[in-house]
Amino acid sequence: MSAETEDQDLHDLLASWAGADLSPERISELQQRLVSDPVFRATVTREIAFLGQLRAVHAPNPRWNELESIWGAPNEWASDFESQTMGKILAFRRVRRVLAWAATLLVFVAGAIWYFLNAPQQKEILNELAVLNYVDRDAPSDSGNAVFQRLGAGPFKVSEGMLQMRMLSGVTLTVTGPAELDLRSAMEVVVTAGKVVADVPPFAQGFTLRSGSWNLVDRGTVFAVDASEPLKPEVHVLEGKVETHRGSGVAGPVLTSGQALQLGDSRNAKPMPARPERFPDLAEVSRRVAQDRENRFRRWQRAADALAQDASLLIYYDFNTVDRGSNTLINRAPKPQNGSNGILVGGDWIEGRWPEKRAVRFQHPGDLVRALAQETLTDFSFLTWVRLDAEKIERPMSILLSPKVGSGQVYWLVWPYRSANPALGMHLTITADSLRDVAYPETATFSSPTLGRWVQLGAVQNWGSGRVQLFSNGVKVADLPIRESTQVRLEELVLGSWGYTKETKNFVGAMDELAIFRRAVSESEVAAFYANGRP
Amino acid sequence: MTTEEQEQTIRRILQGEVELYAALVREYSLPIRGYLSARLHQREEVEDLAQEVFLAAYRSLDKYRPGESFLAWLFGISQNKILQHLRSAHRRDSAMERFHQFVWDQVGQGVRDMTRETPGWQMERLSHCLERLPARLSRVVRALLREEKVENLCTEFGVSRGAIYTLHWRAVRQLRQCMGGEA
Repeated sequence: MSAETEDQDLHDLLASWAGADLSPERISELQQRLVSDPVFRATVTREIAFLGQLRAVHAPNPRWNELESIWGAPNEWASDFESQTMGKILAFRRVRRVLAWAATLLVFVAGAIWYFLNAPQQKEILNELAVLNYVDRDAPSDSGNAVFQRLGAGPFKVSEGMLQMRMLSGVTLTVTGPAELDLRSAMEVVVTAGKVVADVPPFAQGFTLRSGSWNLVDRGTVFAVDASEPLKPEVHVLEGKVETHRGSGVAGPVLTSGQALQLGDSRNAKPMPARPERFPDLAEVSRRVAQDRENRFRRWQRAADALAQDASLLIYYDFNTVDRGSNTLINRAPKPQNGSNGILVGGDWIEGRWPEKRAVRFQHPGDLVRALAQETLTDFSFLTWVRLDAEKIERPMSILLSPKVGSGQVYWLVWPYRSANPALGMHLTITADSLRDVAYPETATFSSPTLGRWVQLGAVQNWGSGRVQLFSNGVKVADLPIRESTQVRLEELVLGSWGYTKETKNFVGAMDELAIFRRAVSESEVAAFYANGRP
Repeated sequence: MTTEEQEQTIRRILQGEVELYAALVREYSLPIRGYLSARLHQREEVEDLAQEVFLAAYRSLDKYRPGESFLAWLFGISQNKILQHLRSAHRRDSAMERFHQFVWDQVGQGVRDMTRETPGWQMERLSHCLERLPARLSRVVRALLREEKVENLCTEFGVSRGAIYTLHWRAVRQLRQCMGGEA
């Protein structure tokens, strides 16, 4: 039989293995061949084994609900394959200890009730009303305000400078401090102090700014409120039309372009000409927004190019040097030796810290990046930029890990704490000899407003000083003694998920930069990494 | 995991440190799932059965004899689980399923041995090779791995079902070449 015919038989058989139908005659021919031709049988064996491996390696997306119902495990953190298996085993043992189990269950139920009644949860994103679009860096406003920060309902202060926020309704508010606002909804904002310019698109007509005892209802316009003198707020219509209403519901004058009104707290409002020069020019603000982002991106590019010269880098993925359409993260380390490019197995490319830059979004357990490192290190440093997008985080999420078994494996995770508020920290865990884990935890790395924002994280082990240090946004947040002198064996690396199995410890969010050093970087280097990469 | 580490781990599990079983699950889940995936094509089935394999192994851990290959033992359990599963699932109703069982009867043992002998790192390289496939082949092979409907691919590419399976065949050929080149 010719090789060509042999290939056709193999082709048809494997096509059927992949789902294709075969005629009864063809099935009969293939069966005959399988029995009579040992070489063909061996080839089929090899191919089917290969297809199985391919399926297994291609990380699957789990079906959580079905797994939860199969296991019925009460442990919220243990719905992954491995942990579920462990949960079942532990349940199996408990069958032999019914009384103890019942007591445990009672305690658990009581604890669960207490938890659901009392534990803090990160639900701020659900209440999100606006995202900060621009923060004037020359005259920074409140120290906590930063671009991409998501704002929920409630008071919002700007101590000085200017910022711009985009409401979910589509309205853009440009705020000049000192200002005090109360975000009531995406369609209603109270201005207690400061200057606010509202740019209202047609679909958001009806957007209302309240100041003093007045409601200012947009009817398609750009208008501004100046509450620098809280007892005498003014409304200026820069474009379009605005309805005014007193708090009692009585309609006031309708203002059009070029008109303004000093509202005061009396019934008599005082007309005046609009003074657009007292407010930021929106076109100028737009230009500054674009320029600001461009500048920050260029600054980061220069810093990344400089960092890529560091000979101690094992891996440096800037998430920018990528071949569009490819799933490869280029390793920019100058002497990577064993550090490989990263392969995007799951996940997808999204906009990174800047519009010009890319990041990888992880949403599902199968969203991950694989790489090879194959080095054993005493000192090491991990630096990265990540963004958490989960609405509520109640389980660990893996940033980076080496999934082999044995000593020296690393697990770097975002870790929720039940007892702390803010309740998100990070864990660096290194497996010691005999499969014991040495964990270096840090609480309160992430406060709730950090969700949805880019955060710089770092982990450094320094044998010389005997310390493990953890960093968040360039600041050291933990400085812990090395508890066991364990070398780190970086073999395979997985970013964003947990090895081969259907884990729930997957990262929900995005990653935008990762540097792995063969040395312990200094605190100032971490601070520079943050400063140069801050969006 | 070295043989010594493995046996030490099992000893400690039997002495009560059951949490260490997670390490064994982690170490061997890929080859076991690879073997199960060779016969069962639905991910859900594979994952469920893999869990059952590790549960069964745990419950019989005291029967494991040091010095023997733990992985081989797991493969033995897996083989039985596949048989039980296929019997209980009334798989032999269709001609294609009967054909698949016939094929498996011929090659299953060999697939088991071959998967057991394939190092984990080599399986991992498949991810890298998958990445190197041309876009069209990559699309086909990933779609079939995700159990997408072949009809959708036919519409997308404007070709017949047979042509899709031919593309899949070519993709697997290239993957094998890639693996051979890197091994």
